[in-house]
Amino acid sequence: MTDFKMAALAALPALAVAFLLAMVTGLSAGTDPLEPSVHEHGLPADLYGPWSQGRPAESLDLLLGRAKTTDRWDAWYDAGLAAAAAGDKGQAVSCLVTAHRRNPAAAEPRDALRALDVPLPATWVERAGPLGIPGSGWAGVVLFAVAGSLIGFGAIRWRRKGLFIVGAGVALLAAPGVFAALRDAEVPWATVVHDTQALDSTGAPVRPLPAGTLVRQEQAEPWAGRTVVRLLDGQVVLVAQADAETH
Amino acid sequence: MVIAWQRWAWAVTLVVLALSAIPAAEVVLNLPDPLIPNVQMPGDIQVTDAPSTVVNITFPSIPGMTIDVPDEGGSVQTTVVNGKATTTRGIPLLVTARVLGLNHIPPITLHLKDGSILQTQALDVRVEHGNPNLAGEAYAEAAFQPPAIVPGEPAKLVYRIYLKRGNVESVGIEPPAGAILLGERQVARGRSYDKDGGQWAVITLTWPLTIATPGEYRVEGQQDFHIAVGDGFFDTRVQRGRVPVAPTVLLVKPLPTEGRPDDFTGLIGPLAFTAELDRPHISTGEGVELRMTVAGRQVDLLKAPALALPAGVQAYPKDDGKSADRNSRIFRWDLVPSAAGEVVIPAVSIPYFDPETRIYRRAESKAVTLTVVPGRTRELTITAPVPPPGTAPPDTSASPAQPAGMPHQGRLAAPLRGIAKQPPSPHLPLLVGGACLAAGGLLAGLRLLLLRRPAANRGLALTRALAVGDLPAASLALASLRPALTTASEQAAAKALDEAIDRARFGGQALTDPTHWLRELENLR
Repeated sequence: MTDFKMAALAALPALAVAFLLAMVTGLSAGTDPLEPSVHEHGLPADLYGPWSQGRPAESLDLLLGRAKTTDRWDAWYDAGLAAAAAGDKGQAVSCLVTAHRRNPAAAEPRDALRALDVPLPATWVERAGPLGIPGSGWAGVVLFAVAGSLIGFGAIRWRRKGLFIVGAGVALLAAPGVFAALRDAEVPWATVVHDTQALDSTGAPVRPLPAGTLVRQEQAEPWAGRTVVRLLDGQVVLVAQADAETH
Repeated sequence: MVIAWQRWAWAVTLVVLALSAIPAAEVVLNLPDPLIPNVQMPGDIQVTDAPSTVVNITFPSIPGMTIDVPDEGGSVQTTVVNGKATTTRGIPLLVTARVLGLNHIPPITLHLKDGSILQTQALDVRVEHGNPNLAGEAYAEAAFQPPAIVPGEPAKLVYRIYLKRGNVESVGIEPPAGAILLGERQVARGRSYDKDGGQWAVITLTWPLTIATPGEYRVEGQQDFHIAVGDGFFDTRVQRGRVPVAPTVLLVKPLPTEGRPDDFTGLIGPLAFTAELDRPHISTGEGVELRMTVAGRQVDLLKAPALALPAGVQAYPKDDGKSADRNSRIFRWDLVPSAAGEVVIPAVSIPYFDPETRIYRRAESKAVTLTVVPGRTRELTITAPVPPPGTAPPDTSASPAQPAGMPHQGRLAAPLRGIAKQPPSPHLPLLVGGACLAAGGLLAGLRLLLLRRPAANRGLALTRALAVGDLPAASLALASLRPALTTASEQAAAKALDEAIDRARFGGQALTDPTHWLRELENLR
């Protein structure tokens, strides 16, 4: 058996695991994998019915419940659209930002946020551009599996430097997409969900913050019932904990 | 003049130091409590760090009481703590009291050898008849305190074991079935006296408990004890005994129906109820935490009180706060007023049954006031270019494909309805890549270990060299094969082949057919 075949053999178990994960998380398109879980949790199946009849507010609670239950990015996205249709901008932005964090590579949440006049600052996925395509989504998993196998095998069989070099090349190919998604998913976004005031450390109001304002959470721990956040213009302020939603 | 003052200062300092070096004497009168009438009982006077020896004691005249000093006895005990020695002398006394009730003993004066005196503190002692139940070797009794309660009211089961001597290994009774223990069992040890003034050891066990169902609850049993008897170290044996425990009954009466509030949840008093805000002042749009703390027993039975909030204040219930102990509970809400002004959160009350007065009462929190100050706001005007005449109006339909209701928003896409592909976790590529890295390295290592290249086949090399007529190479291959020759036939074949090769190389003869020699040698490695 050649060394190349052995390296491919090492990647097979990892690829099999990745494939199984893809199947479990609903990789297959054309079906609605959300519906069974919705039924399991006792929610009605026709979540979009009231919305399609012009009553988005009635669908909003159902869609939010489904999003919290499944934590899928498209469920958060739909809940965000329903909230926007119902006029709840704070909730809409919060749901769309959550959808973005669940799938940074998807353009739909970013586009919807732009449509709501709350554009996200340039994300790492957008900065990577075409360079990020090979490493985005499941392709990144496969490429990193192949790269890892080749590098691992080539590092031990150093006489076969070709394997090592090819593996490093594959890793370089996938790295921009993988690390861009990782960075975007870790940005601590928070959303102001009610019209409120930004406060300074003494509790005095600094400026009004309308619902739907996007901020970055500066500290995970609240302070005196308030959350320390950084506004997009760089100012650090405090927001009442009940008025800001983290993701 | 200055020198004279300095001398005085030195003298005063030396006197103070000398006085501080004198140990402070202490005298304590110890007597049994209570004294048994007409029984001579032992006591003593403990003198600690006396400056000199006690030579005489003057007892005050006490009506109905006689105090004697026996001829023998007394003790001296010296302890050293941190280099400081303390000497305590015990002077034995024999006290006989004749008058029941509280007897006052004035200070007793001790005369020392150096002429100084010491006095005890005045002391009040009780003179009572001894416990008439104490007879034989042991006695046990149990009692409920109080003997009658209502369901949920706390009570105590007090169990006393009196022992003339010896000890116990087990407890003869348990709380009645159905009792709810409210805490750990407590054990205390003490002394008691029989009617003749004999001293007994008492072990008191106390169970704090309550009962949830009306009825009569009886406790009875038997108490085992053991006594060490014998004359000496090698003649000691254990004698076991048993005494009955007189039955005792706890009466649990039903709660009265008269005056019972509709919202009564079974709480038994006393109950304390407080309300507080985490901040008294907030800005418009901010939230504030309202905490209501209920302190009492069985507060787990309590539901969150209903708040009667003024209009414009939204309450969001939160999880219970951390309370300091199990007998308190903290209910919390986030209150968000919608407008500036004074917000008064009205008082809330909780009904409970007061076991002392046997009536229902209400614990009421005080009303709290929240001041909401207006935040600084600024009017913003958003202008947009006017669309040219004839342009279609923006689509404001409320269908899922184009939601409506958001001013200044662009066109939103249609919902995905759950058909989107789910991406892997952003960390999954790193995890899979790392796993494959390890697997690849492992496989390469295994291959290095298991699939080693076999050693060169020297016999085959010899055969190939002869086949192509390369005699020098054949000679070298044969020479390298010599260490592998183990049998006589192999060695003979090698020697014959070597001679044939030499003859062919250096004697000008044709090489003899080596086939039969090679049969012996070609398989050697």
